Amino acid sequence: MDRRTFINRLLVAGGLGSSGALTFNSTFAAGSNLSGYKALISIHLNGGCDGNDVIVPTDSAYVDYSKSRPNVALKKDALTPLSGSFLGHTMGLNPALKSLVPLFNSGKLGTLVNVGPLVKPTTAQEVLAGTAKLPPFLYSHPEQTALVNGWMGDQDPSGWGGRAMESLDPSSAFKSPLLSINNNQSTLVLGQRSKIITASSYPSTNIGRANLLDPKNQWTQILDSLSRFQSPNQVSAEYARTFKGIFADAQELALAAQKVPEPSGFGASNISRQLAMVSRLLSYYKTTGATRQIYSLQWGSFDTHTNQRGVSDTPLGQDTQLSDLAEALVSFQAALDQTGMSNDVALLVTTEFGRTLDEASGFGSDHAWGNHWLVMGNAIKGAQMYGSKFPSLVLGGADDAHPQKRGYWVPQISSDQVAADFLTWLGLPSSALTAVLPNLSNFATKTVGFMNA
Amino acid sequence: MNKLKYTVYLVFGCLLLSCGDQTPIHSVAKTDVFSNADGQVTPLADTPSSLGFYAASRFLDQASWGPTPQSVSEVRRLGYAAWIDKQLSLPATLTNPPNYVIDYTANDGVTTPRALNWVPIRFFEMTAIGQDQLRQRVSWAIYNFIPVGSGHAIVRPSYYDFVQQNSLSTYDQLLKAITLSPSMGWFLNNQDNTASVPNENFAREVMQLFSVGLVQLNMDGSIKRDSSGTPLQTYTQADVIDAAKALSGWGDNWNKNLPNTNGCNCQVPMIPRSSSLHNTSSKKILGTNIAANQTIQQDLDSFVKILVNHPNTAPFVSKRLIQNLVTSDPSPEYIARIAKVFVDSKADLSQVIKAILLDTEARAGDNPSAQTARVGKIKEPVLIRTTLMRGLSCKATIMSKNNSAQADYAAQDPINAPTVFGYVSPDYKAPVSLTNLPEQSLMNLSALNNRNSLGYNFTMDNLQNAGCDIAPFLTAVQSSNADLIQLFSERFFRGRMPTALVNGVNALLNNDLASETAFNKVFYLLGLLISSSTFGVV
Repeated sequence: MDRRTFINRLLVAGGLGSSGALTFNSTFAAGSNLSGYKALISIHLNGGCDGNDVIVPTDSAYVDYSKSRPNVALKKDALTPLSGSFLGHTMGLNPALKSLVPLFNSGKLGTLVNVGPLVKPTTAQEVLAGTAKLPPFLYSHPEQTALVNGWMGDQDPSGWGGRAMESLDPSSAFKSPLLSINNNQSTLVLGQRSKIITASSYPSTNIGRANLLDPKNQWTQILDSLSRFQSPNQVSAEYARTFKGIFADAQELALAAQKVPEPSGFGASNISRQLAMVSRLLSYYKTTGATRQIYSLQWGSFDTHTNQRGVSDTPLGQDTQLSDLAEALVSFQAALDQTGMSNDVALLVTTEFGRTLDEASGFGSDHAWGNHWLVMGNAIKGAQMYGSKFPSLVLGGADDAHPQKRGYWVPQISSDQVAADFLTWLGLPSSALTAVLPNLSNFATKTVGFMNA
Repeated sequence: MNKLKYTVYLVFGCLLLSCGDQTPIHSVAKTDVFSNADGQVTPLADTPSSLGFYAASRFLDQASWGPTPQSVSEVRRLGYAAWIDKQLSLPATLTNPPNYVIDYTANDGVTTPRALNWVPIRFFEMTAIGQDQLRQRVSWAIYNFIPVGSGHAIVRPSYYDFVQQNSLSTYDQLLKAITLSPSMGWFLNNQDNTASVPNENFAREVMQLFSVGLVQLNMDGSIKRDSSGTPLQTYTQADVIDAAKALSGWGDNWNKNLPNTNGCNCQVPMIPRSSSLHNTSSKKILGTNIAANQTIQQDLDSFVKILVNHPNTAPFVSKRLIQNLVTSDPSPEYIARIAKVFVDSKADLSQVIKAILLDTEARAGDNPSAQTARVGKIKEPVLIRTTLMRGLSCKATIMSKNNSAQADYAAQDPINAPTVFGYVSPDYKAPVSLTNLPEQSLMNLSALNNRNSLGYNFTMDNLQNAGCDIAPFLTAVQSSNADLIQLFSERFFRGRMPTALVNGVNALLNNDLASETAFNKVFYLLGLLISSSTFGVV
């Protein structure tokens, strides 16, 4: 299959007709005369974190909520109330997120209500009638994780972050644009030709006896020679190529960790450790010539088919993990303020899908579709809940696309529209948006509008 | 189209060579099987059998947990087919958890870690000494795409025993066994799935990940597409809903005398709960009807039969087994040959495995002087560890200084996959790579660091307590550089350690390591050697 055929198939699979058969290389030449430094941090909550228990109406809609999931629902008096009214409701947050309220009130945190992957604007009625054009592989973890991060459903594994960087920087001149923490396979930062840097939460200056900061060390030199190992066998060649990349990254990350100490205030949880490392890398890369960066983090086990509220059991319940998340976000924003980088960095919290409002047996919930996401940073117009309405919390109600009325919300905001807000902020011209996010051409409104101008 | 694709791969392989930034170190086009270009490595004499030392060692990288001097001799004596037949007749090594893994105080700071730590200790011990090497490798291959993970100790070995007992039977038997494993019932919630309150988790994953997969396949594993090029989906949500009905009503064989930490009674299959919990309506799954009012067992039999007979299952399962044992990116022809054996043998896994290992594509790399551009896989951390232990003739699991059973814990905790998707995606392709190499995704800084830290992680006591036979290594290093290199080469490089590594070992022995103890010399070097691409691929 030649490249043109492949790309045509890709675009078709992504929902574009033949009129959209543009090659990425030719349309992505948006110019890289960008100045300054900006970085986007994305945290993906693994497993499908149930938004139904993240934002809960405290008015009459609370009754619908508690009636729909009597054993899983948060108690009304336990919710952390938000002042004001949003989308026609008074609202409360899961009490595990209580520490985020000051960030919300000060306008640095916003919520996106009922987001998910969409091919085009879609209603529950269309889904129930079988007339909707649906994204592929709904309700499946890895595919939905990939889709909300920009995968287009076929062989090309790239995501919107990787493609956008390649569009912003067609000559690959940016320093270290795509990074992930502890994960080599994050769709978001995979491009079509770019290498990603995988950093660890725990940096080291050594690999075995090799001191990475000492080029005269004999072991460092031998590792360097192993990284140049060649073979006619592609598997060996790929091993050596990966080794070479890891070795070079390890040397730079060791240098970054040596130069930038950890800002105070971060906790010990896994997500706090990840964000602590990100805050150090942001400082390092900003001062060493990076222009635009996207960091992908993945964390948690939110696939709460059972025991959603958590007991002394595994997997962890939702609330313990949300509490870790809130603590980590608060520390991260404080660290940005401390290092003077608050205006340079924006953060997104995603998850692959929502969960059935109807509870599953065993005090949990099953896979569903639309969900609520968080956005954070000085660049965000916070203290708001974005969307045109909050989903009806009645099983079989106006927004329920489940044939047996279990509560699947059809997203009102496309994950591509969310991406478009951030990519516009990073400098991607509007003319390049639909090349990076093909399905966006089906939407009259390209962005959600949650970024400050 | 496929032929064209693989031609492109071969060309790219050559480009890699010519665009490198150094003169190739690795000798590419040798004419002699054991040429002097291999540095100080003395050629190993072939036995009268046609199988060379290199070929037999390579075969054991695919069919066992790594070669030992004894197993290499056995393969050379018997030949591949007879060795496989002998292995197929061996009984399964089972985990046999001791009571402290079954009955302990949950959330206790002593008893809980002791129970959990036992699992990897036992797993690696089985790989070191179990006679059923082939069965264990197949079980591991199956576990990699039909995994269970858990924070409860007994859930994990119990599940692995279900796999071990069925990994060389038919695929029907395997699917029924894992469906009724309480560990799986817990992991994917099928024990919560009832007629009135469905739970679709297992029903979906058994189709998506364990049998038919998301998209329709041809026999050679390629994707079927509609006229506009879009992949055809294998099933819809309606199929999942009906599959959940067919699978409803199973539960643990619980009794009140069981300890809390084994409330699942995980070592015995699930049983039907009260009959009202099974949905007895008619079902339609993947285009086949299941009649109403069947028993719960009949519904399971019908459902599994639908899955195994679906045209996707033969290429889907064949590809995953080939990928784990032999090569990450098998040719369509190889997949089609094995899928045909799967169909013709009525999904007899022992015949499928034998065909996979004896296939011309699997054996293409047996001649070390021939170029095999595409065949092979990157070793996952578990296989790196087992190959190391068997190369050192260990009789039990090597515990590290910090009392951990595994040096690569973070990368791959055996029988505790992070998610239902296992440790790696079978379709993983690294950025800018043209080759599908799932285990490449596990190559990261921490894995590389762990391998290079071998000399720091293990003490002499650790190795001796595991019964490893390190005396030959200590003797060799005290005798001469060449003797040590010869031994490293035989045990870890199929008798053909590359010149670059030979030179590196010599340089380190003569300089940085000159004043180190014999033990440190051996194990600091071994850490470096197991990081190399030559050791790191099958």
